[in-house]
Amino acid sequence: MSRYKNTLSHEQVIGLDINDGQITAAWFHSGQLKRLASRDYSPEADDRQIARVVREMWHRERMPTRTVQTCLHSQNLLIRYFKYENISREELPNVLALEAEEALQCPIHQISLDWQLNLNQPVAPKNVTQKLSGTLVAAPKQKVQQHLKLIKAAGLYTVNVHVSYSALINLYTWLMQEQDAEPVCLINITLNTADIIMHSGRSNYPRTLFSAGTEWKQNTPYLLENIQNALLYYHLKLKHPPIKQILLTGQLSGLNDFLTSLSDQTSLPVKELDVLSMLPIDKAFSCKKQLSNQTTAISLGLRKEYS
Amino acid sequence: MNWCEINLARDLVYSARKRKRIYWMMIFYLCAAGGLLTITAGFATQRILEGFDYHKLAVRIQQSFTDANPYSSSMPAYAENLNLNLQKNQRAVKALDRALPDKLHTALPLIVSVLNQSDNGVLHRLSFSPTSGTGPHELAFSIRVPASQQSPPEIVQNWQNDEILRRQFSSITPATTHREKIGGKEVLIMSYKAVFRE
Repeated sequence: MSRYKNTLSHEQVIGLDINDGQITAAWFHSGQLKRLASRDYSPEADDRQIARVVREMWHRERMPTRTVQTCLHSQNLLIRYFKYENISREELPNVLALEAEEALQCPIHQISLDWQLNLNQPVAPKNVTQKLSGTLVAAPKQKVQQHLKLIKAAGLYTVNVHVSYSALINLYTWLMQEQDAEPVCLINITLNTADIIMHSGRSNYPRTLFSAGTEWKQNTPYLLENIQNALLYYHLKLKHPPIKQILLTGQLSGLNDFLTSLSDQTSLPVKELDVLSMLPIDKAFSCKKQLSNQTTAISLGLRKEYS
Repeated sequence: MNWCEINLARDLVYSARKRKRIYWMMIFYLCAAGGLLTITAGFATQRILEGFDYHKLAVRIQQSFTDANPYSSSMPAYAENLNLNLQKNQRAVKALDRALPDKLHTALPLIVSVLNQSDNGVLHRLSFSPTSGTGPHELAFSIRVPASQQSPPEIVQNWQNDEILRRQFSSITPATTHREKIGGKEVLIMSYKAVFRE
């Protein structure tokens, strides 16, 4: 009886990440990771073929289809840090819309945008001007609709379309709970992309890197350089307190060498974030191998209510 | 808590909370519709069963009718036949009513009463005979008494003693007497004629 009551009161959320030729799904039930599944697809596959693979995977894993949180990966995605010295929250949407229009070079009605404010100071009333900073996320509406169509073709119902940086922040917030953590640099590395986020209190500064043409294992100097640049920019240009630690997740061949190099070049302690060992795991959970995109999928499956 | 609520499809999909509300509303709607459907189906089933019962009753009545009237083609034909008979009888009664004098209506019960008063006498036959031509109307009746009875019933005396009958009828005369066997017993049939006063 309590099982049914639990099923009714807690929605079963699934985080779904489709990126780098791999479909990864993390099924959470009542805040516990119940299943982690993945399937590969050809990078040349079109949306219809990808949808078929997703549908087959769902069918095999017998996962619920109702509440799926996904992530949009696109070269057209705009993730931009913003900082305005004197602006009211009433004016902010219009200003950000202009910024998105300018960056994406298309009219506002063709853009899907959202933003996250860095709430490191008390929030003033809507019409009162103040210093506001945060992250603007925007993408051509057509891309978002195409993504939703793919998910729908797979027989799933999307409730949220995140971006990889927001999913990673939620994972870290979820793991740290309300602990007042020191400024950290979060890095999630997948086959061709890397999310770098400077996180301090309630403020975030994200960067997303793409390794065009090659995988990161052949392009580690570029990755190291960009991480260093981001650290410097965050501290020196944005005047935030220096980062105390680097937490790294994801998969990279020759990871130990990379960790050593990163630690040497940044003079910061670098720690690998073992997400699976930190999460509450359902009794029925089983996962034979570590998946390259598991961090994003797990991050997407988390819900604020479970923390 | 620094929870990132980024959603690029905010205006393209329902939020989880809204969807949950819609689900509960749907469940409520389905329950209500299901309940209504069950009640309606219950009523419908009840009426169908009643229909079956009526059908069974109709078959039973039809069977009884066929058993009772094996030569009737159908109940409506039988009813039509009855109706025709009834109309025929009705016409006959009306004709009789027109033919009978008005006085007979009031006198008839009294006559039956007087005749039944006679000793062991039972009214055997009573008939009204309108005389042909212009003569007065007559009432013919006969009394049945056991053949073993010594004294005949005092019909004429009783008749003449009744003032109302005396006023209605001008005369009463014995007509014939004969013996008959009815139900294995021998009886005397005594016939009389009474003439109406003009």
